[in-house]
Amino acid sequence: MKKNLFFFYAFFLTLLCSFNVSAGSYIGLSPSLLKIDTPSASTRPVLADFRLGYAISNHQLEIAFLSGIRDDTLNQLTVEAPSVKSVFYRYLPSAKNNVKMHLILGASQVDIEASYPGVTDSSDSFESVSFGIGFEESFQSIPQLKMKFDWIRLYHGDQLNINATSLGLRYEF
Amino acid sequence: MATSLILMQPAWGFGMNSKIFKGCWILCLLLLINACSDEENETNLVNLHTTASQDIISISFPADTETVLSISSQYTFALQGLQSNNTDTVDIVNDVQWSLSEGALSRIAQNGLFTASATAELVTLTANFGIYTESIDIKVSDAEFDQVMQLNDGVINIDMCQSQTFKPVGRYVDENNNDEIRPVDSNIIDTIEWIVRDQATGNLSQRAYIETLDKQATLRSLAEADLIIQAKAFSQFAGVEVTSIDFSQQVSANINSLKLCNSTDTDLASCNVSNTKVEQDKVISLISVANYQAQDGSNFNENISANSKWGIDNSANATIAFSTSRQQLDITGKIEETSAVVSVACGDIEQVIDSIDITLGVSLDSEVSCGTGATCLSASATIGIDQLGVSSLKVTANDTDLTSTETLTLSTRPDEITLITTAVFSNNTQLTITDDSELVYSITSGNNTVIEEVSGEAGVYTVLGAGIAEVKLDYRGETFFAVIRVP
Repeated sequence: MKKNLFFFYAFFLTLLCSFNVSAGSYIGLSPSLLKIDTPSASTRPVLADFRLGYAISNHQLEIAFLSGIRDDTLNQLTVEAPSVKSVFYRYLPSAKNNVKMHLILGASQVDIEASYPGVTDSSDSFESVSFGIGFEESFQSIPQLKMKFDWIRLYHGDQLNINATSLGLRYEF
Repeated sequence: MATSLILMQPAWGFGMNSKIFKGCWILCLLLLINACSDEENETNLVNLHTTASQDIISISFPADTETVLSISSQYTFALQGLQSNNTDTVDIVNDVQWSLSEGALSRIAQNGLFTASATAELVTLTANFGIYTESIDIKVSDAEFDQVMQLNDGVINIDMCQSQTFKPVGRYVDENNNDEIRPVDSNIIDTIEWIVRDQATGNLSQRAYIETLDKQATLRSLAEADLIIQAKAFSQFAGVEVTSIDFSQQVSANINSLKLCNSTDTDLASCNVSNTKVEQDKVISLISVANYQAQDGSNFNENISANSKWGIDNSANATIAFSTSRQQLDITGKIEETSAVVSVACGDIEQVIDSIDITLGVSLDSEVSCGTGATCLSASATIGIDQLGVSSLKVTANDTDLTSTETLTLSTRPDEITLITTAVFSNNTQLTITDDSELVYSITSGNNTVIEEVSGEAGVYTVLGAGIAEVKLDYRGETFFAVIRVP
């Protein structure tokens, strides 16, 4: 899995550097609420979500770096997500209205740290295919600037699911 | 491999960039196919959430957990957890995983129900809750039950009209004639016949009884008492029925007050019954609430309906009966526009109940009252029985169904219009009420021009001419407008 992620990153960076034909790169910034969902309970740390991407027509390829800015507690349990690294492919089905929908597919690595009284602090890394849906709309005064909303299942496991919900801005160069 | 895949793809029409994105798409699919979630890593984080969700920092088996169980018996194990304030201990019901040591013939269900094997064995029972694990050694014993040795492993404190569960302790004898003194197991407890006598007279008591339900023995008291209790059961060891020694048991009288409340009341401290009404053929439920003084001096309220003595002064106007659980008394209204006094007492009442099977509850067709100087408290409430409520009226005009306020247009002018009215009552019964004196007819439109009343015939009108006639029908608060267009 890690090998796949590394390959994906390398491939993406090659893309950004090599091609510049009728296409454009973009950046995105937003706060992201992570929901760590287990059968018994959930915790919700908050992260800063930075994205760098490349768009052509109805296709976008982006890498995402999320960095933890606030942990969450459940009684005595403290949960933090120090970092999330993802690669996403986004497909924009043709839409005539202003709000554009994105279908998102990719892969993510989510690092989670947890501490509980009487137990050694733990640090776990979860990697899996990610999928989700996004919506965005351009500002009329600055068409390159868009407001976007994403819901992405970063990790889909047997008993554990990790979802990211973000609302932020994207700027196309 | 992925790069070569990209290069092999045909152009889409956008040139090189389309190839790139098609390649990306294939890469994503490859990832999707190859990816697997880190399920083995999940356990720690999932367990931490499970543990934290109930704020538990350690787990243990309750102190009274049985560790010696009879063969083929059943026992439900429980797990408790200490919360992070280091003070509160709570029962852990959800998310516990139970298991037995390898090779065990006994079985444990995930609700903690242990079914002992048919042969003796030693097993280790393990409970997992989140990040914590606790184990206990269990002996499945083939020692044979002999007799009940103690009523309970501690003193039973019970006040009049209260119920108290207890665990009788029995003597078991193994093949080497060694005694095992332990709580009577689930196979035996249902077979015990309990004999409860008044200490003063030696007669079977009408002040208390013991009920065994769901493998749980409960002492139920109806009055202050000094009791002698015996347990009669078949001794597997001796092969004969054995009656235990006499166990003395006192039922004290630390009751402060008694009152009636509606069964729907949740705040037993402030509830009360006043101006209570029930419709004919409908049911209202009451509970009796006692205020007791606890051993630490504090007071508390308790629903004691099952152990109270109930009565009604007029069983023709309304009847009383215990609910299935006996946690409330159901009062059914019988004759409308009447009333009945429902009374309740805890303790020695004046009325004779010698012939009553107190295990079914005491409810009399007469008022119950406390005897002078008796240890007894009582309360009562007058229940008004209202007329049966009317949920709707059905009206026909010359055999055609009408809808209230909707106009029925007649094709030909009849000589007369006859309205037939049926009331649908709140108990879903129906009754034709055309001639009922409570049904009031009034012509609100077309009077003396379209229709006029036929004197002495309720709901019958003579047609005078063309136009719209409207008749208002009122019955016990329900109104119907019959609107008819006459050609």
